[in-house]
Amino acid sequence: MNKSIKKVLLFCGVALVMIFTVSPLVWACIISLSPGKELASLARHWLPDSFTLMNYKQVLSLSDNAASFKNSLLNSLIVASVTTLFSLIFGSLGAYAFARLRFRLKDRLAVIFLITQMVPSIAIALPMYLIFNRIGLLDTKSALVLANLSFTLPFIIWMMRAFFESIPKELEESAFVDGLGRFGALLRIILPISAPGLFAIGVFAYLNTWNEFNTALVLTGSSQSKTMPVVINEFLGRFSVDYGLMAASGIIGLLPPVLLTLFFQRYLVDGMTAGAVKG
Amino acid sequence: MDKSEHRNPVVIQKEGLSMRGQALFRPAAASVSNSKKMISESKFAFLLLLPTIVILLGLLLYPFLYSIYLCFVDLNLTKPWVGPKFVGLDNFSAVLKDGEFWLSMETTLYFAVFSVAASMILGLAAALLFNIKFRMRGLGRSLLLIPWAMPGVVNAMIWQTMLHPNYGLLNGVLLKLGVIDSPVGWLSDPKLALASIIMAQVWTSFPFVALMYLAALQSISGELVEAAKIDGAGSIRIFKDIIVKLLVPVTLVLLVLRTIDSFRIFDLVFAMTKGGPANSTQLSGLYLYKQGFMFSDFGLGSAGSYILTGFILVFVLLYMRILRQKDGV
Repeated sequence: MNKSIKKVLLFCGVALVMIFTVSPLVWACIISLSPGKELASLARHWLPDSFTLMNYKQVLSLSDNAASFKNSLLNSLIVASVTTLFSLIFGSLGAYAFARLRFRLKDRLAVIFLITQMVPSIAIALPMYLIFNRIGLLDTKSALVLANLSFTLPFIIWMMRAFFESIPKELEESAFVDGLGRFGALLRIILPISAPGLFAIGVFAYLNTWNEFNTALVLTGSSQSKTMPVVINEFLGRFSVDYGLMAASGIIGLLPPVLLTLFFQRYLVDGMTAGAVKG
Repeated sequence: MDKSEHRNPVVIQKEGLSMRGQALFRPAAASVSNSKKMISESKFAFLLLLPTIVILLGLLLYPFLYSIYLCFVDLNLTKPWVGPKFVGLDNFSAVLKDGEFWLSMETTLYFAVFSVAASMILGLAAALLFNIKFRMRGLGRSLLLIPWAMPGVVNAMIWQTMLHPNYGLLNGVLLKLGVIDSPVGWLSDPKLALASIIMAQVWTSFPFVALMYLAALQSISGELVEAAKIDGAGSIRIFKDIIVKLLVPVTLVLLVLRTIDSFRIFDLVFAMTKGGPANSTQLSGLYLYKQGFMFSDFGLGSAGSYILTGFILVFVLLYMRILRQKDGV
């Protein structure tokens, strides 16, 4: 008796959490698949009489110069991929230094890296705007890659450090015994077995960059560099009458991060918790 | 890290093998003679960190210093011929005297307190639930990750579709249940707009809290709980004395992270309400953006952002103190 009551309570609790989590997503999906005429009565019926892909077609074919959605997706893809690649390379090297090597100013550098995560991005965005303006990089994808690199690098170093610390030191020592130098040990022994951690943290970097909005808003101006969040934000003003278009753009914009997280779920949760829980 | 080891400047050179400190304590590696000359740890560390340092110097430190300089000058980009003019602490006093700034700080404080508290409570509850074994638990955990992975702008868009007076699901459900008898304008009513934004923020932030708590719960060994049971502890005692105690460190880490995040929030509000209606959702991030980029007052924006950073630091230091005290016990 007691056991079945517990089961019912558990079921109710999980159901509530799941409804809260999933219903906004499902609702946005339904709206994006509904013909415009049905929107007004949708909230009362919850499902349209017929589904349509019109909104998706329309949003992807938008080709006005200020904000082509397809272009912004491509920009986001390029910026996020390049940023992730470089931040993984530089970040894992730096993290290894923090995890294994002894050098002057180490603790201080670590604290500085942590503090960079605390400054509101608007404080950095103002001077970044002026700097990129002066060197002529405003409104380019390179500027976005550079800006995002500076945000993700400290983060990656912080996370990867915990990961490297969990690898037994004996591995390097036996590599040294086998005649490998420091670089050799790092490249041939440590990095390959760190692949799961690198994956997780790479996904983090990708998500951060794909989702980044503040700096992208400030540093971009035309369709050659505007990223997806910037364009979606513009849609929110322009298409506030056309909810179908808006919802479709949102669903497309969240596909890459959602697919990535679902695909790398296990690694991600491990990576996310490694730094905080073990520390 | 061991501090005494850390400061050890001794470099031993032995048969072409140069290693610092570490070798002293690990004869296994040092005893084997190595034909390759190994570069010193600090040199290697410098090499590894070089790209990062260059990027951070150029793209964080320089802008950082530049923004401090901006705090003390009057720079109006709409009148470039005027050039920067040194104004001392005028920008700071202008921000501190601006009623709109203090209103934005107050709003931010409300936002932070309620969104952090709600996401912590909901996150912990979800973690406790998902720590129990049941069918489809894995699927549920995967679904939890989705709101967390979402761009803030898309989060804003999704909640707009949820909260729309006519097309929104929330009004639809409430009307059907008979809780309300006419549609509510969640985002157009100044009293409800902030609450709506808090709801959207909790939606996207509680999964992270839940997953961190879950990981912490799983690291509690079953043996400890078993041992306590054998000692005759009831389930309430076990919860209070073992589980709660072990969750304290994670809780503090989460509090710091969530507080920093909620003070810095920008994209969600910017996309969802732009601060309206009637400035009721104008959080500090938005206020600073307006000063800097809409009114082109870079000095005021910079000064204000450092005042905000100051507030964040106060909170973080406060949490750290509590953390240290707990560690000491």
